[in-house]
Amino acid sequence: MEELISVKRVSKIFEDSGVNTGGSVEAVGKVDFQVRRGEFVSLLGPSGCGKSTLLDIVAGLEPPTSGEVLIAGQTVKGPHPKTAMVFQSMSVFPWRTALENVEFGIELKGMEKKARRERARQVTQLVGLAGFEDKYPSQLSGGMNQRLAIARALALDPEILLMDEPFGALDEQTRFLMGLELLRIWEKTRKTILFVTHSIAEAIQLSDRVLVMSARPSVIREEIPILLPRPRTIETLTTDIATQIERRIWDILKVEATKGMTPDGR
Amino acid sequence: MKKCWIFLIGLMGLLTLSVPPPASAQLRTVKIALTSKEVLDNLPYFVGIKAGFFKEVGIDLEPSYFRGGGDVVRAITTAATDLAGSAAPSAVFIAASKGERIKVLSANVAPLVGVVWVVRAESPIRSTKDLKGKKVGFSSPGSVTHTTLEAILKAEGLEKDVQIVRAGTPGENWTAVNNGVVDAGWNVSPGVFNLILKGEARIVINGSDYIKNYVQSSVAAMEDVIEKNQEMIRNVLRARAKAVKFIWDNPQRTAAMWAEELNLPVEVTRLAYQSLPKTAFVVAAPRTEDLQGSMREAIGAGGMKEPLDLKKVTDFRLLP
Amino acid sequence: MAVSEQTKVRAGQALALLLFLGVLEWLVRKRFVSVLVLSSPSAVAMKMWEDLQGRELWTSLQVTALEFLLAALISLVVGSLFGVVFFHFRILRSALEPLLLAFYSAPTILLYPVFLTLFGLGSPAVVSMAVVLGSIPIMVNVSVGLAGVEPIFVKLGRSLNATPWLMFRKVMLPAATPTIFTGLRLGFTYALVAVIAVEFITFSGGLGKLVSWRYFLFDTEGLFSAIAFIILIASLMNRLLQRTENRIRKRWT
Repeated sequence: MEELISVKRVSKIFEDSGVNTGGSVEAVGKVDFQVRRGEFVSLLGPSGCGKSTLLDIVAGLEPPTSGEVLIAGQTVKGPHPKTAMVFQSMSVFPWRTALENVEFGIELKGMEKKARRERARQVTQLVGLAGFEDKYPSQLSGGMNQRLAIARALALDPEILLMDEPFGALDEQTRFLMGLELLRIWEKTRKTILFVTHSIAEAIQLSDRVLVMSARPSVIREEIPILLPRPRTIETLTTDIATQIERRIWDILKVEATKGMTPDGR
Repeated sequence: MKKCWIFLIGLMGLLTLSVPPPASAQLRTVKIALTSKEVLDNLPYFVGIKAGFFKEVGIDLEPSYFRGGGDVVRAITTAATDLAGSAAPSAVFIAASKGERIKVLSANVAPLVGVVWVVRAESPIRSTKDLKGKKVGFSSPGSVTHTTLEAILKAEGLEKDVQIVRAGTPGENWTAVNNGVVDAGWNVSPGVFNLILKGEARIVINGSDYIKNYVQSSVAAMEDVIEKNQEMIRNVLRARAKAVKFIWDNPQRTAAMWAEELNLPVEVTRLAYQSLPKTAFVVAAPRTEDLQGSMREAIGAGGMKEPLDLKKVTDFRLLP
Repeated sequence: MAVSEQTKVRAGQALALLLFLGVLEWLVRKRFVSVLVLSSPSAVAMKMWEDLQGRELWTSLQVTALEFLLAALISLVVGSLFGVVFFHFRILRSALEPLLLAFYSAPTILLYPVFLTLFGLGSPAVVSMAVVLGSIPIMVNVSVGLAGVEPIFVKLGRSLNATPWLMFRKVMLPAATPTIFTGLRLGFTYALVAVIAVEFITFSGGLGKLVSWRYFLFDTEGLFSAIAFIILIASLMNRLLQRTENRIRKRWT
């Protein structure tokens, strides 16, 4: 099991550019972690703690102020072809049909039309949206549109999926069901997933490991393996062990979350 | 003590001001529609007002100026004014043909007064012959300038070789000449003499050379207004006639009044005065054939289809 | 029988219109209003019918239509070009924005003598004035539309290493389309109005000149007939564009 993603002493300081901030903002402190091939790892932390910034750095969308990120041994200098990102807010194009949206990534990469269509159809089916190819995002629910975003990323056949709170805008029930969907897809495709969330329940439901992050400047407070059996069902997630893990994580987060509520924290 | 005196004087002043003027000095306001100020058809009214001839007959004449002959007529058909003081007869006839009960009260025949076409002083165009293949401006369709230009070009055999262009007021025409949009532009006395004196312009066509018997301007009113105000109209026409006499008897003072009204140097108005034909402005009943000429003009411009019965559109009973 | 709200509103509108026309008809017939100023609706309707069968209206329409289409096309090109430039060079946009807004609010059409001086009396002056008025909304909306693209779309494009050209063609432009289309609708409407207005003032040709001519010759029915046709054409165009815009907006949200 090789280390697919290697984050080495990464930090991020945003220089003062606006009139609001009282100076530069240290979003990410010194962070080190690895993700092995095929793992599902969550970055869990309070709101505004810099976990999204960290993910952007791994995705190659932000340069780190210090340290580096290696993907399959290569230093990340920009968006790496082995990665694909899924965003929190609605990133699906309203002017394209579902299928055309799924095609978007591979279209940009220059895949030829016929092959593109075929691949897009396969992936659309994989995420459970077969039959909705010609619908427009305005005709689909939030959950369905997020599935499109996932399908779009999957169409690129990346080794790594970087997911930034993809279910954040959905209601609790849909969130749980989407989590189940995601696990099903993950099990089928065996991708490596780095998942950002602020929901403890979600992190426990989905991950192999949870990296609990502090308030800003973010560092990894603790790394918690989720030793629960798969598949993760309501039953497995409500056992005593699960509750214990949840308690433990909450105790760590409580401190960090309170910090985040002071004026200084933001 | 001082304050007391000031107060008393002030009070007396107020009292004198608040006393109404004696009844005989009260004037009746008469609204009259005229064409644009710079056109010399309006001269008798300027003189009449300034010399007090209208006041003498108890009338406070209030002019309103309109661009183009059409709106002067609309002013009386909509009762915006009581009279039209410088309406083109053709416009009056077209209005009558639409069913308006409008009548010509007075007009006169004279050579076409004060309508000229000018070129830039340095232009190679010296006579009408040189206008072949060129563009000449006029004010607006159906107007005096339009119909006379067409008549002049026809008289010179140039109607097919000269392009006539609608260019608006004398000011707009002159701008068009300066920008090369037209080669010769319409202009009017007295303003044109300003340009001539300055050495900027030169007359290439003089309207009065071609049109010897023209009914240029008329006084008109609606039938019901005439019926109810016969005395007033008589007085207006009388005062106007007096003003016209004054114009011929007093060249210097006329030129001065004219200059003052139009804000022009008096040398300009003097020159303009000299170019006036002796039969201009006369308050009279023109001959039938001359009025028929105006009718033909109206038909030719496309404003009406057939001539009207002159008796129905004129009313010369109130002439002095 | 249940009558829908919309039917009631429509019926009310029709009734009000009929009442209004009826009053006009009566006023003119009874000569309360000068026939040189207003025409009876029945006379205007008859004249409109005559005009449709005659030649004058159609030749005038042809002139106006050609001038408008040319002005619309040039406005589109000029407006889009400047819009994109303004989007890229924000400094230019902040510098010129107050000037553009001044054009918007002032009666810019009064600048027409400038074009008369440049091009003389005729179609070029008409078209150029219309281009000035028509390109400004397009310019503004293109730059605002591009600037208003959802940041998440841009981020998506970046995450896929999209080239600037592909980013523009497949992300920015489609995302900005609703705003841009509004600009087109406004620009084309202004251009049409400007064409007719300048034709009217300068007497150069087309429907504007027709209106002016008929006004001068006291042809009041003809005047209102021409005006009615102008209103019909302008409304038709605006409605078509508005409907398309609504469709676009519906899809895009």
